[in-house]
Amino acid sequence: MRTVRYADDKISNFTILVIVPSIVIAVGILTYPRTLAEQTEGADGWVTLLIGGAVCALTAFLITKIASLFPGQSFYTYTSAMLTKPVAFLSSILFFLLAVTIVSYETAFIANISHHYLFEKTPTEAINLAFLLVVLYAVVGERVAIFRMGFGIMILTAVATVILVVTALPAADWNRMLPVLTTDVKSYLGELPDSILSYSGVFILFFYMKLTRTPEKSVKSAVIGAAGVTVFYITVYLMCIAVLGNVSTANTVYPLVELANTVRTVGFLDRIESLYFIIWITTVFMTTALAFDISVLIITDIFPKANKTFVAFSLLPVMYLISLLPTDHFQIAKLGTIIGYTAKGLTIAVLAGLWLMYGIKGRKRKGERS
Amino acid sequence: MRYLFFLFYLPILLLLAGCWDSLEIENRAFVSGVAIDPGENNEDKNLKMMTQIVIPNGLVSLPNNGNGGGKSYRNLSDTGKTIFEVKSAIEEKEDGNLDNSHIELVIISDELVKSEYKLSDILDVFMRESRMNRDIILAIADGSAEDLLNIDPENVKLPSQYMTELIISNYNLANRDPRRAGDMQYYFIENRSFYLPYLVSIDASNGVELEGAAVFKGENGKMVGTLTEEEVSGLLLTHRDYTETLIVDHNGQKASFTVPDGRTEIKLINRDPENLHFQFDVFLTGELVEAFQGMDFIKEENMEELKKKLRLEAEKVMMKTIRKLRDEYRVDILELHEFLFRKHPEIWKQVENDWDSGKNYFSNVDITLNVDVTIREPGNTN
Repeated sequence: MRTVRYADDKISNFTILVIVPSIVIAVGILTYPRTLAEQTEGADGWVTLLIGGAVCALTAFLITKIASLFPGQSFYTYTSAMLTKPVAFLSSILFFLLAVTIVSYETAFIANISHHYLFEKTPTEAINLAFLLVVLYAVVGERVAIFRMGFGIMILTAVATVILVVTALPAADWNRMLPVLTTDVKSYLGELPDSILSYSGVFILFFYMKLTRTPEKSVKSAVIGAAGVTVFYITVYLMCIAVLGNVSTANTVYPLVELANTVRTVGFLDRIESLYFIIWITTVFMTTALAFDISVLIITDIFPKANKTFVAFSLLPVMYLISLLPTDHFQIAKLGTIIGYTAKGLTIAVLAGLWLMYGIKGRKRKGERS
Repeated sequence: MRYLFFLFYLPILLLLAGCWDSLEIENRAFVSGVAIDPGENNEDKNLKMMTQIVIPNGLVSLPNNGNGGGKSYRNLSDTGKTIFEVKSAIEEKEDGNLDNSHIELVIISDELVKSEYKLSDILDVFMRESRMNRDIILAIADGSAEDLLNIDPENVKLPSQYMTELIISNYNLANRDPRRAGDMQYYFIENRSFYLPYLVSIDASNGVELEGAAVFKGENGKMVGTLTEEEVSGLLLTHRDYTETLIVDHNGQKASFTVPDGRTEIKLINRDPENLHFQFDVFLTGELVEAFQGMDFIKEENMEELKKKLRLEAEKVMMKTIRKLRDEYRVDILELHEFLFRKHPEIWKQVENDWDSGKNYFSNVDITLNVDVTIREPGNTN
């Protein structure tokens, strides 16, 4: 396969801004209004969404900040320097396994939902393979190309969402937002983990930060990206509540699909949710491509001599096999939860270690100087 | 080398033509309407379902084709224990594959939902099946639902389409939207009461009339009775906004008013859960559209007189409906439960479980009407 070479492998701040929503907005977008509405009353879920968004922005800030202190260095390099080599190796491998599982999970989810709504007879194995092959095609090329594609997909998603919101407005009943803030604190706390999990994936910034031209400024971009996701999530959530109502949202498996379903007759098209599927599938495709790329990047960071194309091709069968493991809707959902918790836990552990060591070493250095 | 490359990749192109789920549009049998009745001599609790399948050729009228194609639909029916079972049985009678994604209307016989079945059980498949449309219009038929799918409207080719339009346009006249299958989820899950359009077959050529509403009790999902057209008017006046027509009797002479944009606000006066007291502030802005001779409408004091009559008429109509719902049916389709839940959640929490079932707080509710009438214009003529 011939690949186009770009001038350099560096990426801009704006790319960092786009990467955050690209990885965070994934299959969760189809289901999160349900998990929110299940435990909160009226439209109160926005509170936990906001907190989740703040946590995401904070994580993005801490990750990019620590990475910007070691400009141009890979995660493996600076973690080795801070936390010894075995720790760096172990955490890299854990992140690698996580990224591989994310690819498989997204694939399995896409296969499941397309099976539910689009293809009745096509075996999921075939959908999985076709999807993974397309992702592989994106990954074996130049890394910058994935980001370029990310811009396009981000714009497409944003435009499509605005259109969805506008066309669904006539069906909205704002009284459904009432009563305001009647959910008790316990329910909020019970719901909070789900909200925070909706925002997982920012850990990939650990690895992409070495590619930026201006690491200092990328910190701001990452935080803006996280804020953008929060706005997006809250808008979609409020729209689901206004159109479907709290009770229907809580009892519909894919509320966003049903939201698109309620948009009545646009021109000669009677039902337009299949058009929205295109948008959502490309968004998920982007997430999968980034996760795949990260798993390749981690390997090439640890073993600089490894051939990227070779690594990508050899990972494919593994990802394919894992994607076939969950056999039904519930197992896929469970896998999603496991991935969410692992991603958060791992990110927090690594972040804590890095900042702790930075604090100690930084103070030492200051002590030496004075 | 390059040729070898081509030889290898060219056959792969053939795979592009393969598709597991391809189904030609000609082979799809689009269902446009469904009628559900109880099965005959029904000891096994069977359901009888009729589906109206569109024949696309019949819909197109070519210019040189005189009377515009043949019949544009066919009705197939069968019986079975569940809707899905019947659907499979019907599939055996139909050469194409039944496609449910464009169902417009589901009519259910009142005999079915008065005693035997919960409406939610019958409608479940219409919400659970992935290809179903949330926009399906629901209607209850007086007697046989099947008969309605056999009517012969002159202007529209499909009876189901005719009835869908009938229901939608009548509801739109009153500034409302009929209940769709998607909206029902809320009522079914929360066990709230609701009403659906009630269709009656008549002996005229178009054969069907929208005759008020069928009222359902949320607790058990069964039909408790019907509201006549006049009672539906009363019900509409309690809604937040509405368009209505009222006829006033003035010294034996009739005068008709339209209320193009009426508005009603609900207030809670007594907050004691045992004895809740609601006030409906009704703001009617009437326009005189028809009057029998005998009155000088340009004179202001005559208008005052008429205003008072209009007010009394509105109160009478509303009170009749409220009494019927509160004292006879004891079901809350005035949506007071929504008002309480949204505006007074703390009171709602106390009465939630016994609202219009069990202890039935709703039947002890006091309602006062406070009607404010303005007559905007007397019309073009005196």
